[in-house]
Amino acid sequence: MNEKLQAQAKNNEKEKSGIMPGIFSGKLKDSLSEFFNEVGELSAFTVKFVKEAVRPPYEFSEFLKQCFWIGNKSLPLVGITAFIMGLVFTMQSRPTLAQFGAESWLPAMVSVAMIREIAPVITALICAGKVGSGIGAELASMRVTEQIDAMEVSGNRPFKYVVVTRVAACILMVPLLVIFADTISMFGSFMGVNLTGKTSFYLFFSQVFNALDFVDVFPAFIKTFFFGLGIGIISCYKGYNSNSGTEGVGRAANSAVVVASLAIFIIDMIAVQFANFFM
Amino acid sequence: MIKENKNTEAAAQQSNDEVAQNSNGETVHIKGLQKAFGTHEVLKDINLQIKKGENLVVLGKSGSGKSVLIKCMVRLLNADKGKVEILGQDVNELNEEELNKLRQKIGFLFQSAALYDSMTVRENLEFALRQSKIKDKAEIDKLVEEVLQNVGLTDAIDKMPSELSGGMRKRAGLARTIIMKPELILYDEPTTGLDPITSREISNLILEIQKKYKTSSLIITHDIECARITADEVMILKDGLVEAEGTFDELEKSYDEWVKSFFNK
Repeated sequence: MNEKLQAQAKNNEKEKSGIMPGIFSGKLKDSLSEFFNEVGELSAFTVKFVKEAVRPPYEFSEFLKQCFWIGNKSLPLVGITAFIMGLVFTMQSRPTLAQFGAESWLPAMVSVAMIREIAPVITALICAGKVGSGIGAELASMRVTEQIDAMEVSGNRPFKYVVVTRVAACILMVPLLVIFADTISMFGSFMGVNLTGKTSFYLFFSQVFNALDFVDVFPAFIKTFFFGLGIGIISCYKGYNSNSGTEGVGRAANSAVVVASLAIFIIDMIAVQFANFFM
Repeated sequence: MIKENKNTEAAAQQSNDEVAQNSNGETVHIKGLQKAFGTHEVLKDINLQIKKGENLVVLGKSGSGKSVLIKCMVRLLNADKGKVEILGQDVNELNEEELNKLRQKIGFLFQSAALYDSMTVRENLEFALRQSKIKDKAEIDKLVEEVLQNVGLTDAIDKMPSELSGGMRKRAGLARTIIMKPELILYDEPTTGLDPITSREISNLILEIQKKYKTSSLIITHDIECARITADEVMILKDGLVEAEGTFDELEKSYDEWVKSFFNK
């Protein structure tokens, strides 16, 4: 007991003399301040996006170009990944369900899991990697080579042309890619089911559609718009505000992927809580 | 309150008078311009005027604040103190709309030319015209071809920036600058990274453009040959202050050792 008191007294002395720093001092304080600063700037960037998005003139041709780039160019990667996900998930789930004699539940279980959670999150993560890094690097490179400044001094609005179009394209294309991934993953699952047994196409898909409810599809679909917003805003923010020369291009691409991926999980967690609250 | 209003009116009248006076003969009027990054003062007290149709060359060593000066002129950077009046308008007092309108009357040639690398040369030039009143496709095409002809780059109209040489990129950048028919052109080191022959060609092109379009120009450079060809007036910056100013010949014959050493480079 006496030793404990002595140790406590020692700690108190250290704190008073400044030898043992408090929780909110030094590097931790700097990191926290930097974090909140970044969150604040990102929020201001989002508000600016909303303001500029509703203000005419609208950049339709650039928006369509970005939709093509984000959607069409990601299609093969998303398709292959979704097919493999459906196939593997079915193959991995079969033995467990077989133990309980519930193999006939396989299409229903796989479809609910894929459409509610796995396909949206994995597709969003693929987009964060492919699209997010592309946007981050492209915008950072435009900043470094003064292309954004050139737009600004010619009286054009670079934010509207460069940022709004890309974020809007992400908001539209990520949900479409998720629908595509949902569909393809079901074909993968159908193949998985037929690798060891024999189930007709009609039977498989009627079981899938019987298992799916509005509460499975709708919240999962809505959250993908927020995934798109998160990927677009974060990657544009990182690229648009890059300012450390060519080194900054790599850093912007890298942090765009890391932060966007983290944001997807956070959005997913909030979306699930939100959906559960209402359902 | 009434007194305040009177003062405000008087100040506004005085300001209008100043603007009217400046717009008579001066394209640019900078007074007491200051800019610092943290504790590092880059521009300490810059005063300069550019008359209509005049070429002012700003010389100075790296880090003397030349690029910061022109970036403050178009508000790519915000000045800490001082007045920057361009075409009779105080740049620091303008809102976003007004600033964009003024910027359309100012051309800016970046050191790297800053061509949009996802667009062809034609698209780069068309992009510059997006905010202009010209909407007719045939008229735009004609203007693009005319401007490219003026800079000797008609063959490269459908090329991507990555396919152009350094000199061609500068020409394309210059074409994008003059397509808006600006009243003032700001050149940020227009001959940097070019061989002596191409540098001379670009310098002569700057002079031709000044004569043809009757523009005023501010040219930032390290290149003494470029300054000799293009300058009506020369200003030398040192540590954020104007060290010397005059014509090229006057400064070349200066007795000041530092100024002299600069010209002997």
